[in-house]
Amino acid sequence: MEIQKIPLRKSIKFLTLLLTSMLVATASATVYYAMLEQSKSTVAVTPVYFTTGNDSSGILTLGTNNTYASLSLNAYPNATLYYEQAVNLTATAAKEVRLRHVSISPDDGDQSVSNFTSVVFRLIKADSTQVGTLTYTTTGDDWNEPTTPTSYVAIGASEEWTMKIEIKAAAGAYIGISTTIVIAVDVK
Amino acid sequence: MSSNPLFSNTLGRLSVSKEKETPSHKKIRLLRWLVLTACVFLGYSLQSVTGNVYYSIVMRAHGTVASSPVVLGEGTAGNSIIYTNNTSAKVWTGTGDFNYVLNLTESQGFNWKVRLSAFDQSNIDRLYNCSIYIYDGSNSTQILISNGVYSQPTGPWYDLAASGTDYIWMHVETSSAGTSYVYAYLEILTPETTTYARYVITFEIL
Repeated sequence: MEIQKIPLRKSIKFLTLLLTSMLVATASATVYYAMLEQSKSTVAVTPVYFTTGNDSSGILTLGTNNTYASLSLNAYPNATLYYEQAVNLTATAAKEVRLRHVSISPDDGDQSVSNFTSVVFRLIKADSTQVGTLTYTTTGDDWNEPTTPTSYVAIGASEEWTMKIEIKAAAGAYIGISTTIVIAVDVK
Repeated sequence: MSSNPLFSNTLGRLSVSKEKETPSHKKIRLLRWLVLTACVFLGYSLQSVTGNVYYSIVMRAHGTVASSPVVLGEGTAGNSIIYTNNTSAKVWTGTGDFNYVLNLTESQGFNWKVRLSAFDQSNIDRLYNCSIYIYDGSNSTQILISNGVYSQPTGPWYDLAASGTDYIWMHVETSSAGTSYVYAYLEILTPETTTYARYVITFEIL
């Protein structure tokens, strides 16, 4: 067929259809990904999950499938408290992991923020090498949160890493004041 | 330059301008841009999907300000100052025995283990013998400086009983005049764990 005989309008329609189908395909892919995120809590065994460490007794509660960890920590005024093994990370397959800040409360501007000096989360490999750190400090009533995730680091199958937490309250801090920090461990 | 309009068109706009533009030229040019747009669109779409392949497990850390389990108290020898919340202190001594320069008292009714660990210093060359002990019926040598160098920077864990009190005392000999500083942590270990607190204690030795 000679190209001159292809109606221009039909070509445009065809390409518009092509682009639209690609857009639909892309949107479908995104939705499919989101569905995977939703279904992760129902997976029986995830390749990387939380486990108890040496310091977990009395401070750690694990959620379903060990994909959620809740820690209850103390902070002493004008002293630093170290939880060397607050919670562990166990891998059943070779993956890559990183730490990512999600949220912190109370929000900036709240007077109770100044009761804290710092909270540091350190991801420690089995050989004691530190491979990621999220550091939270305060300036007056505001938090200085980590703005970027840590780099992805390879974790081998059957390896068990730990999370070390260092927490310090300010001199003169009021007893009972609390903060909640939510961190994601991204796995790929 | 070729006289073939199709060939000329592929070489660029300047070439085309020299030829008479036919309807097929317009179609080809339009199709070229549409295909290019489709490629860019496709590339962008693929990039977005690839960048989001991971899952997350979530950790929630709830920290609460609590009373420290061990509080520092002033000694009866040398001079000392206890800072806010009784969790850091500074001690001044000269030469001789100083029994005692600080005390540490358990305040929550639990057993703990304590030790001293030097983490910094200045001008300790003049310290011929600087020995820092924890005492509660028996001596535990915690920090030992002999002839200006550490022979023991960190002491062994020592029991601090529930509601009990331990004492820090020092023996100092110097080889010359001056002022030396030893910066140490008092580390308080929760038994059967690796959880510990650190208090900063500064020893100023004249």
